[in-house]
Amino acid sequence: MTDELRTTLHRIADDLRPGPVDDDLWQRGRAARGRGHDLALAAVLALVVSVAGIGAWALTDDREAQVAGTGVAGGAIPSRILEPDGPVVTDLAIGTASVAYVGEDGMPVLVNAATGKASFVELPSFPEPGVIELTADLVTGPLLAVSPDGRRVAYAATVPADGPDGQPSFSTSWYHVVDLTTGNTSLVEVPPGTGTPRAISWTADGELSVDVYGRPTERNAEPPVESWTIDPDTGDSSTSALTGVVAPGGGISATYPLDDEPVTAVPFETADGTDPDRALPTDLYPDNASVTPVGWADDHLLVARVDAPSDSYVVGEHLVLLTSPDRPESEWTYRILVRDVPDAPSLSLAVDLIPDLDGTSSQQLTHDFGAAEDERDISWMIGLGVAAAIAVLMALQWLWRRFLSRGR
Amino acid sequence: MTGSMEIGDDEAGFDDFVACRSGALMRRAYLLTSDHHLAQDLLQAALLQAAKHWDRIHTSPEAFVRHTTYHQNISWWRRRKVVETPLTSHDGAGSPTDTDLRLSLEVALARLTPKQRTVLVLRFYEDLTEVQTAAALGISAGTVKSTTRQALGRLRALAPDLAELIGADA
Repeated sequence: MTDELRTTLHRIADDLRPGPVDDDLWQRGRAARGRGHDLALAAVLALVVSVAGIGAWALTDDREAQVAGTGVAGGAIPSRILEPDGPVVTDLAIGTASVAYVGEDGMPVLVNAATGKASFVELPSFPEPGVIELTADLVTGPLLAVSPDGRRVAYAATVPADGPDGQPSFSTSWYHVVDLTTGNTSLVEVPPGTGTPRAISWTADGELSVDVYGRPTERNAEPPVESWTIDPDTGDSSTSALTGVVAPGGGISATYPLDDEPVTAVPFETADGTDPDRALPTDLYPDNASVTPVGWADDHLLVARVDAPSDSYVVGEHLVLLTSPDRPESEWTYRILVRDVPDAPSLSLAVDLIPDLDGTSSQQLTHDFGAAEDERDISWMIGLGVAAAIAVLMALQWLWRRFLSRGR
Repeated sequence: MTGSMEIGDDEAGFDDFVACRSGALMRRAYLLTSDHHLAQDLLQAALLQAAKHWDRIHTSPEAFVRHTTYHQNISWWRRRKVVETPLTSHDGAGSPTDTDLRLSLEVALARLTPKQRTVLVLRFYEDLTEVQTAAALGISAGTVKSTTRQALGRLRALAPDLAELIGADA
């Protein structure tokens, strides 16, 4: 049976007249082989680029986790103090804040020390915008003060009140201290005989320092400004010899300006009453600038907010580090800390986050929280650019081979 | 120089192979497809693959082309089968005017599936054993046996006059 089938199959095959075979099979086959090699090479290169890109992304991600994800260890002062973004933060347990200020609309703003992100926050019993406006003539310094370590903020719970002639007025019975590590708020009684503060700051040892009007000594005369320190844990308070922002040693203080007039010397007070005014270094200090103290980075290094005129070499408001005048001139320094400062009269800084100066001008005193993200974007762009360039080269090579093969 | 000589030798070797074996390969392709044009395309595709991989297969190109032809044919059929005319419309007996046995077989072969046809070609045209056929197609010997039985049964149903050629039962 199978023999007959086999024979018949061979007859069928033998009856066939084979047609011609294309004479360019060899060239087409070799061209296909070349394209196959090119594709394999492109695949390998694409794989390498992908692996490199993923590696760069992973490394960048790790770095971001250190500086912005879980945060800079202990936090850092941002190189740019950004405008608040996102929803109002109601959970106050943000960890640490590097900057605290009151925005133009009277809303309190905190900058997260770990991420550099600025957010509006909902602080209990924070003065209404109308009250803040009423106190504008009284206030000379910050209304919202962040502690040197950034873990607490303090403010006066100032409320509206009726004045003697029915004029709108205000009164303050309590200070609020918010622990940013827990989100808990505590009330601190105002010192006896005092009312709404002109400025609030923190001392280096964690006490509140407030400038207030003292008891008037003459009729129709402005009462003297006095300073009190308050232990926020016990509520114990005592008067201080110095107003303004007192240096850690307690021997010298930088006073708040009573107006925004330009100064030619940084105003200081000393505990021993000597004239501490230090002439500003003309080679560094912008002419005709106004100066407001913010805090002390160490015993002799003041953080000040300087508003320089438009014709100055450092235009606009910026934060600087100034050496106190009780140090020899050889130690004087003027280091710009932050160039972009929000237009807010009340600004406070967690000064412990400023690193100790190492004596070099290249030392980074702040952290650019946007840099890591920018670098990641650039790495992606480089990766994609390389991949695109390879693709273009491969396409050109393929077109060239095709052109050559047609020309034969 | 040596390289260009090798390339020239390769092309000459390929041309010799095509000149010597394309007729036999074309006949096998025709039996596999039962269509002149498909057979032509099938052989061209297999030879193109041979040229592409000549460096590797130049010592035994015919085995490579045969293997490629079998698999290419089944692969093409799988791609085309969604538009293929249902076999039920052709399951009737062949035309009574096809009295010639060879012609009846040719027509009936065309109505088998490519897989059935390929197995029959390998078993009865190439004279391969069931094991060799299974190895060539990458299937089991049992599948070869069952496919052969189904193919012969189908031929019997399609062309009763082939009973004498293929027997009453497989």
